[in-house]
Amino acid sequence: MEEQDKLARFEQSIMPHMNAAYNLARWLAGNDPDAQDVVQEAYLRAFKFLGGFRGGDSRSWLLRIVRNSFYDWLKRNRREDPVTEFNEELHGRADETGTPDALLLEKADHELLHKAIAELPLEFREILVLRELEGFSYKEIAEVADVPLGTVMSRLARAREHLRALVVQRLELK
Amino acid sequence: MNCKETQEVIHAYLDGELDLVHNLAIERHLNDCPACAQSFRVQQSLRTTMASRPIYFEAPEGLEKRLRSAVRQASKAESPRWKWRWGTNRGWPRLLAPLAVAALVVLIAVPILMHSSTEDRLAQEIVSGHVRSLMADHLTDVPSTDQHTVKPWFNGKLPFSPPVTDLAAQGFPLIGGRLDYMENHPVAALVYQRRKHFINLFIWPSTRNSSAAEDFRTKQGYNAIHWSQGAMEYWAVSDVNKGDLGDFVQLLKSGASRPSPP
Repeated sequence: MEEQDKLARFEQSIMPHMNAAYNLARWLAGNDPDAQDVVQEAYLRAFKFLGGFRGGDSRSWLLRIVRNSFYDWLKRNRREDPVTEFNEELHGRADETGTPDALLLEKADHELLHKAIAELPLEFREILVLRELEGFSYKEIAEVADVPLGTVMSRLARAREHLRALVVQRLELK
Repeated sequence: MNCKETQEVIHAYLDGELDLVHNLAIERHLNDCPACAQSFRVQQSLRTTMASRPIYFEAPEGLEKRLRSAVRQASKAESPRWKWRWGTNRGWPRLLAPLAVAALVVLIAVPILMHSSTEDRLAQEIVSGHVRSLMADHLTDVPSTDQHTVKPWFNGKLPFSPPVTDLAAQGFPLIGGRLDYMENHPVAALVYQRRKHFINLFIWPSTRNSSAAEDFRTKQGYNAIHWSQGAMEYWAVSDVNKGDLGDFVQLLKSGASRPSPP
């Protein structure tokens, strides 16, 4: 591909998704400087492999690269998973805690919600972000996160149950 | 459907990922079972709470510049090799080869390109129309989910009556209509929704006699499908994925043959 064409194509299909790339990286990395590094790495990779992008949805193509860049970055920079093991006992299972009223959840402000999402294990957080913030279909999530469709479904269900439990817990502590 | 089965697919139901049969089965169960209905409401409320709080991280200022400059540098690092390779192509036989290729291109490709470039230019116009409708906060002139409200609204505003089909049951609710301008004449724009995404469907009378096959394109990250049917030209454009847009078009094609009564 001629460099000028490649740059133009990059400008058209990849640059418009910068916010989506940053949002995912920011939720995964947990802070701004690291998220920016991850996005830059992802953009360089996307540019390098642009020839391999055969049309289709460029946003999910890019987000898949962002996700891979993040996990590579994590391997290089951290000795272990930044998130502490999730304790299901502590947070309680959904079925046992009963179902609080829907109205209670609406009291969660963005700060509380933010902290609760940030506390979710990575594998749940990424799927939740792709679904709720990017509006991806299960099929698109399966492609970006590189897992089978059934896994998307079960992880999303568990992610939401955990999030609900965390939000309720924090609201009750207030 | 019992409680266990319902709980297994309740999230897929919430996300609109189930087919019609399962949707109906779930709805029936939710009507009959207060416990499942309650847990569904809780999940629904969690979801609307998430949607209404500012938890999306916008890229910080300066990131765009940083990315562009990083990519330009990478591009420069790639290009010198190019020039070097050209530099070794000395001698006139090697010069003739590109000329021969150029001649072939003119003879074969130009007529094809001329045809496709008209279509391409139109695709560009369609994508721009779609982007404009989202940017200017002017998605619909007549916001209505009722096809019997949207269709008559076009009366007197257009020299033709566009077929209007609601596809809410199939997961593509109609949300309204709008007048737009394409190829120098007014056209009907119907707006459908797919989850959080919008689909613009542009319709105008065909100038050709035969039906055209579907033509799929991707521009600036948007997908567009063009076809003609029943003396009308159709362009569907959206940022939904290719599969969803394809389904949407198939639904319209099967539905458009029996348009709603005026």
